[in-house]
Amino acid sequence: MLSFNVLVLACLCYASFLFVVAFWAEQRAKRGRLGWLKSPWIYTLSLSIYCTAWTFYGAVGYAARSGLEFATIYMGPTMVMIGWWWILRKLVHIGRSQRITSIADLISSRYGKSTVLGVLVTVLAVIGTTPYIALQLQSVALSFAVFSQAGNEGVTGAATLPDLNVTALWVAAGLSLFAILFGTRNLDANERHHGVVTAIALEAIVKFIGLLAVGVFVVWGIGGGMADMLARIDASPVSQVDLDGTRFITLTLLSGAAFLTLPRMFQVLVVENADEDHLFTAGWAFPLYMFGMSLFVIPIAVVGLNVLPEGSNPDMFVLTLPLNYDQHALATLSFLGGFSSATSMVIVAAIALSTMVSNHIVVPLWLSSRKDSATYSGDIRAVVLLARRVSIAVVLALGYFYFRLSGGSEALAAIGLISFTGLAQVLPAMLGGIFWRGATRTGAIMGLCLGFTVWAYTMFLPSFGAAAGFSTQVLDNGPWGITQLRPQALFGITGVDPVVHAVVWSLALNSAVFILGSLMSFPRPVERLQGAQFVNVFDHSGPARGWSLGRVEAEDLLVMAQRIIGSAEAQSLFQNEAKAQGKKGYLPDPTPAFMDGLERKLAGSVGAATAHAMLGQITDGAAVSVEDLMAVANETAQMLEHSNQLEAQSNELARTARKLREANEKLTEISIQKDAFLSQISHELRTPMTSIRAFSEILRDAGTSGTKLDEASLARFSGVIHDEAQRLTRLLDALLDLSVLESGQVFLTWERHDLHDVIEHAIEATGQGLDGADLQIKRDLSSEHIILDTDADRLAQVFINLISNARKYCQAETPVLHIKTRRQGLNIQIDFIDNGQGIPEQKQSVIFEKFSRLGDEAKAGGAGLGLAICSEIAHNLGGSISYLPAQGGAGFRIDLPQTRQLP
Amino acid sequence: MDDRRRTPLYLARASYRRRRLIDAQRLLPIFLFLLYLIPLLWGDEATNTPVGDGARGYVHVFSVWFGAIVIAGLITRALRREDRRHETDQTIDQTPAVDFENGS
Repeated sequence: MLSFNVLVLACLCYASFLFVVAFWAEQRAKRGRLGWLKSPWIYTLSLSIYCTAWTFYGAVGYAARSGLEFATIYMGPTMVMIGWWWILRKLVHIGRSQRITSIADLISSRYGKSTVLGVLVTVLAVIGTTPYIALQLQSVALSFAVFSQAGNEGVTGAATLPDLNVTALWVAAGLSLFAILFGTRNLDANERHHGVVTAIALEAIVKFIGLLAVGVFVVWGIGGGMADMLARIDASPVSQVDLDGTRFITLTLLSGAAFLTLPRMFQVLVVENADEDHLFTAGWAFPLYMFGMSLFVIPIAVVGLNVLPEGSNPDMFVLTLPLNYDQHALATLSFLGGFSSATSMVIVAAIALSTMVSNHIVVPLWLSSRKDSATYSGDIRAVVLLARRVSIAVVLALGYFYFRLSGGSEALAAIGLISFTGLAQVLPAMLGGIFWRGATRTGAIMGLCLGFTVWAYTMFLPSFGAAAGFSTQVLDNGPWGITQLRPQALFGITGVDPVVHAVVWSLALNSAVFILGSLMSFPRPVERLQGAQFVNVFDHSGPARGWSLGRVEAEDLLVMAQRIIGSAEAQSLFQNEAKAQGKKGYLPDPTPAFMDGLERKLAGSVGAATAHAMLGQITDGAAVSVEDLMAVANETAQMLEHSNQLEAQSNELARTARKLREANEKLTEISIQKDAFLSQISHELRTPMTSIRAFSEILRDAGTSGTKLDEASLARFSGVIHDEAQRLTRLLDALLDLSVLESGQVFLTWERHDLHDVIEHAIEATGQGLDGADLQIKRDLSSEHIILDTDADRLAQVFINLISNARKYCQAETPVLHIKTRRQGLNIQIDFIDNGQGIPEQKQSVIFEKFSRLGDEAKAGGAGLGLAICSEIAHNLGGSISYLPAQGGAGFRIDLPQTRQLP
Repeated sequence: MDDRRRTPLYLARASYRRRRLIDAQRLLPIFLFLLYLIPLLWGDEATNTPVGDGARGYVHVFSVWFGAIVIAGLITRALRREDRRHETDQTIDQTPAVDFENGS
């Protein structure tokens, strides 16, 4: 007999194998070698989380009780997938273009980025999914129990069942670890979780093979092939069950609806979708998968009822049949299949729910708790990630407690259908949202609330029985004896199957109120814009521009964006936009198009409603009025009458104009500077000249008149002359150096160096970091060890310049200079950031020009050539240096290629 | 409004074929649903067979199911072939336009 310990061992091995696979896929994706990771087959297989333990074990039990009716659970999704051109294509396209992070985000975003709707759908999803997670834990625990029972009977005869609760607890803990490790790696929920998806695809194969193997064993191993099996089916009680027509149709439609609205299905269908073309393959391949999963369900049920002793649990036939024939390998395979179905569902459901909870409940709460300073303080990334991790653990804990409280009810199917019906309440708002521009927020809120209430009253709460106050007495006579309100016979409609009753009433009332509410209310402007964008998603990018050209500081936007999506990504986003606008540096003009794109990018991390609210805080006074917005919409509608070319031309024109304006500003500034420099340089040259002349005259006069100067004066006068001459030489050297660098005729000695040594050298040369230093330097030593091809002396010259600049100009009480290095693809970035006042925006574009200085005073005697030389050196080394705004001080970034780029 | 201006009333052969394939793709689930419901009409108390007619219903549902998958697969293959042909046509058409833009 298969010992329980061996089974646990197999299970642990399998689980650790999954960890390894997920980790490997994650690493592979990180290195950019996606390859087959983004193939349509992986996408198709990941959809298989629809087939949970409920379908793996439960389908057979279902078939044993109600015959062919079990097929409805697969047939609905089959029709949705085969008919993907109707709904899924649009849903996936919207999901990708709007960077939707969850089903709650879809609904909230469509109805004017409404926080209320986001919360509603999230709550509904948590309530609807928790029992389902409990169900998965229960099925894993039960399948363990089946094995240990079989094992113990064989060996000792004494049935010492392992504690189901302990098993479930271990499973829940392991799953939350997996989900936290691989599901919360990146903040952008819209990015794919390669590790999770690959592990799930693997699990899909395991469960498919598991069930198919049992099926083949049953048909050709126990039975005598297909013909014999058909005869057995005809003789079996399974085929004597009458099909209930209304139930049959209702369940088919319900499962189709749930396929679209279950949070975990939405996650894999829409959020994790890497390419819309994958639907071409999944459209037929996933129905084929479900076909395979259900083909042998009836034979297994028939043979199970036939062969196994009376009273054995049909939900466990998939396991008990092979065990009955001593097929241990097969039983283990089937056990792993069931384990896979349970775990993959729980993992994805937990990730989907945690995204919703963090984006729609935790972050809005956190933001409103610090209203005044929300955009400027605190790290939002850390909060969101922590919220996700905690919610995953909480969701699994909820599932576990539900499992403990419900005590493991016998028929798995009931809970599944309750969950399906609960989440199907989102369907009217979802379909209305993507096909009907007239659908409004008011309608959606009313529909969802009513549908949710009716579902809870007719289906969810009665499932708890007397514990929730739904005793048989209430069910039979209605609350307080009002027969019209009997939970399973609302308004006197009796004799209907309770499931059909609940589904029809909840969805009918939900849709009716949704439509009526939408017809009678008037949408807010943002709703109208979003509605048009969702419904007309295929007709080019719509006219939705929610932001007017107010006085928005690009620097404020960058500060906020850095807090949400991280500094590296935010900076490259802003830089690219600036480049597209024809500007240099990191600060693009906050055009409406840019604001729109930025909002969408942020929405990918924290959800549409939150992103909108946060941008709203920054634009503040510049928020658009209704009239403005409608005017914008009208204008854009008229604009569309013109050809695309015209639009492109005007864009081009705007870009050129912006470039010209910038160039003009720069020219003016440079010309002013040049004038200033000329007087400056004359002054600089004249001052030493004057002293040299004066002192040399004294010396000469002393020589001619014969008066003896004492030793001390002689030394002092000649010392002054020498110093001043040196100062002149330094100035001329700098000018010469610059002209050599500019002409590109500089001789560089390219060698491999450790960046750390270069920085070390520069710091030593400036005398900083030693005792009595007036500037504190903070570095991350471990990240500095990067080997690169460069001219070490020249590079050190740049560093020295930046460090001494920080020392000269940083006016903080305790000046601190941060030096950060990081590898970015083939480039190396070295940031020098101090904690002073920074450089005002209008100066930022000229600091790298020759002769530019901050302020008028010739502080520390520079001629304004240092940064110009730095820039030229960086250029000659194949890189660049730029000013890094919004760092809370002056920040300079040096970009260098790691290896020499030959021209 | 914009759509009407852009797409002509009558289509070239290739796009016409594509449209009809998409029609087929859209209609397929509806036919599948109707065919799949047929077993509900079988069997009643008079003939003493259960509704759905046991094994016959089982075979029927799974055959219809498999048939629909095969047809969906075929339509997808044809659609993708049309798309590929369409794409190559387009790139050939677009090349001179790009050159022109670069030149100007």
